[in-house]
Amino acid sequence: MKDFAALFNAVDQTTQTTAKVQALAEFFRTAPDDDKLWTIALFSGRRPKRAVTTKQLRDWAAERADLPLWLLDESYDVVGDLAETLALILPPPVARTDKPLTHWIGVLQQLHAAPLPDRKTAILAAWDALDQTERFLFNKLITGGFRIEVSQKLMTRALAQATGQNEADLAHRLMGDWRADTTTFHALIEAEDPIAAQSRPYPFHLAHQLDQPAEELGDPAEWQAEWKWDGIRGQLIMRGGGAFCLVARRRADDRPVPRIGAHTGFSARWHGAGRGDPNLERDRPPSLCHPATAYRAQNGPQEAAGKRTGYSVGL
Amino acid sequence: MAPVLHTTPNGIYCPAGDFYIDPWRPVSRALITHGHADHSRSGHAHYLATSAAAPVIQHRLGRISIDTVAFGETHKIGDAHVSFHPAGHLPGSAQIRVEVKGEVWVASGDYKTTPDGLTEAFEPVRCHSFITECTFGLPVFKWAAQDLIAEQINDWWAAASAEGRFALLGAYSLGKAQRLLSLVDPDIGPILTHHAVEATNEVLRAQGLPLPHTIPVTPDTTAKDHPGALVIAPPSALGADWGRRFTPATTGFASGWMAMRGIRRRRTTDRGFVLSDHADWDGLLSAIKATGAENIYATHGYTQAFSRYLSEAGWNAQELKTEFGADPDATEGAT
Repeated sequence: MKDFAALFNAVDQTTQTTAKVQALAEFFRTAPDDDKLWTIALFSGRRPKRAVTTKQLRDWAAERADLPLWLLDESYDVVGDLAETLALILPPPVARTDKPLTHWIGVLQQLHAAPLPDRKTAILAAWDALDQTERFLFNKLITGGFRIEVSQKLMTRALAQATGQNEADLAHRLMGDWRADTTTFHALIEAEDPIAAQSRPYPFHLAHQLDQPAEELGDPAEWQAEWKWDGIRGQLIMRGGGAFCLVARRRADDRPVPRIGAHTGFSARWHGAGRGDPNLERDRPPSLCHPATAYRAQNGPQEAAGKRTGYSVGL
Repeated sequence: MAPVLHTTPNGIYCPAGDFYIDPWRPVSRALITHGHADHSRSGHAHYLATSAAAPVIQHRLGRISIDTVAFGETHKIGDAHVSFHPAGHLPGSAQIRVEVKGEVWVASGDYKTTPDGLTEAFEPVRCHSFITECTFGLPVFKWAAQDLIAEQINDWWAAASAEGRFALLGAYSLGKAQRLLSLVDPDIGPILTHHAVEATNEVLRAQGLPLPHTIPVTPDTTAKDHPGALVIAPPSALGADWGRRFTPATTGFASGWMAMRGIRRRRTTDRGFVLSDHADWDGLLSAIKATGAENIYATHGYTQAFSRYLSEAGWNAQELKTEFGADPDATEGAT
């Protein structure tokens, strides 16, 4: 957890994008694969199943810190973050250990099925083994909502630096409804993925004004002109016998895409997850597409502003 | 019998001695704990402070009528016996002990219980009633050892310097700035200061305080003549044009508030160093216990929660409404 805490501090303690990417890339070069996978998962809003309630956490922390619960709650009001409040009020650890991030996630995953007294014992033991930043992160594994300023784009860039892979390819790999406990770093990031290669979209680009005279763009033959339409951008990709549809939208909803449906004769069914939608982002794993066309579109592509969301359509 | 001290619209008042402690409206006789603007205001007819605090107070308030006392020395004012005792907040800062007919009250002013190496160390004073600040009177505030924070600051500066960046460190011009100066390692590079900081440095150096060599920033200062410098200035100056001449830079701010991530992030400084001249939760509780006081008046901070906690723990505690704690130092030196 020490290295994960160091990564978190490095990213949290700077407002410089390059420094954040550097810290992430360093982590992706050196950390164990499982920790890398979980880090990608956590920073993109995924977390292990909740093992204890926030009420239980508050009760146990107040008891451990020998403080009345109302004072803990009063402090929480001031701090504004429960995971942080608990990390701050707990007494210093008495049995400090350095186990990897994945170890603590494993602890939490096992707690899910454990009787309540065992859960309490395990949480108190964890608090006693971790320093303040690590405790904060451990608590965040339970409460969720890292609110760390790492966009999908920064994370992808860092992964690209660390693995030598193409950024666009990585962005594509990180899309979709993968789960850290059912995949591996190798499968997600490194392994050959024929479906992904076949369905890979061209980047969605925002139209923006030229910052130089049009003449300076070079040979027009190197360019392709498109009308800029109002509305939702989409790509229909037909490659190697498969058909894949990607649509960029600002908000998640479940409406079908009438034009694509009408023009192609497909019955389009949507799966979407937008960062703007807390239900989708936090708790509800997006449902799977039809296996023949399943691909990683549901959580991306996230563009710089973090507002654009990709959708998949089961065809 | 009237209490030894009570609040009036002018401030904390002692009827037996007809004086005020850190009054917020102009009065005839003001006993001043320390030079911060919310405790040491202009317009009083006569001031009394420790000889260590007086120079800064005079520097800030201009021509005033002021008498000074040494720490621990007892003066009789009317029917009250008054003495000043180190509060550990900043050089010269005092708690004020007032005894009337055997009943002892202490007004803490601002204080911190751990020594900082520059300031006279906090001295607990036995009393019946203790008026205590509680700026950080919640259990989330627990300060790490000063050495640890000094190491963080020096590492941050050294890294910035190695990358060819300036390290801009925001700090209030009286107290925090000098404490930081005493903690940083001058071997890392040159130390530049804002004029508000430097003016205070000069006053304190003249009193014999050991501060490292600093280079005051003037309108003629060229940033690139001082590569890898640490720049200490009031936070407001760092965000203004004054600070923008130092690029590329990494920014830091040293304050107890930096213990909270939300506040750290809202300030948009790169680094927040948790360093305070106020007592933390444990410091407040240990100070209160050490006074032996039964009656606790909580002022300046989380008074409601703090006094409730003390009441539940068996003290006779209540809130005392004062006008301390506005942070006038935070906005100084904006140009």
